[in-house]
Amino acid sequence: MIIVLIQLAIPLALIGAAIGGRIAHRRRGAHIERRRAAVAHIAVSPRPAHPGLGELSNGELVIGSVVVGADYIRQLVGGLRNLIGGEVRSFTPVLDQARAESSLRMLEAANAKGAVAVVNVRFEAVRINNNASELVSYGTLVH
Amino acid sequence: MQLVNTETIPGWNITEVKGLVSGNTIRAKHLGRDIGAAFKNIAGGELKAYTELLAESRAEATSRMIAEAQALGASAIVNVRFTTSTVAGGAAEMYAYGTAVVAVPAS
Repeated sequence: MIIVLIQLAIPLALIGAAIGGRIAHRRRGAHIERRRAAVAHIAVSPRPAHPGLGELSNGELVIGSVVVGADYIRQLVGGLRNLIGGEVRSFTPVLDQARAESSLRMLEAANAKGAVAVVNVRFEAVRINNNASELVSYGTLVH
Repeated sequence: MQLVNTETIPGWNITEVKGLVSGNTIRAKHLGRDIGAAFKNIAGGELKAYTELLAESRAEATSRMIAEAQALGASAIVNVRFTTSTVAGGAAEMYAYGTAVVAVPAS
């Protein structure tokens, strides 16, 4: 009886954590949407300069970054997907949200410095280990 | 020291180019952070310990690049780029590089 309980406990804990992770993922998405409104006035461009985006710079860089991992269920589904190929849909929303988070952090830092625009924006993703990737957004502030 | 990732600085003229400057640092995560992150991995989401670690390392690489530029007598670094790579044993390298220049106000 005790052995059966122990054998059940581990998968149940993993599934529980993964479901919790899903709920947290959705909550983070809503949180990102709310914060976006506060920095909506800052223009963003991947080009080095853009007409009407401001003309003066203090020569300042701004960076936003976040390290994320996918929950257990997503890793499992992603691992199975590796067998047949195709888009790994279970990871797409994780990286998508993380990139949104990192660019939002960049914009919040820009906002704190009173910038009107961030130009020459670059996005980067770096794999840290088996299930952790860093998403970086950076650019130049324009005042 | 002004840092931009554009080729020019709006409102400033670049009068002299001092050359390429760079800074790097290789960091390993310590065991406690790694174990914490392994647990966090079950539920997914942000791994804050890693975010902070990498941000610190990037700041370190940047300040080494700035020190090199200051030694050359530059007042700004343009075209700054960051790269990250994972090297053996779970350590990450942060590398920052750019062109050290002397910039003066345009007017």
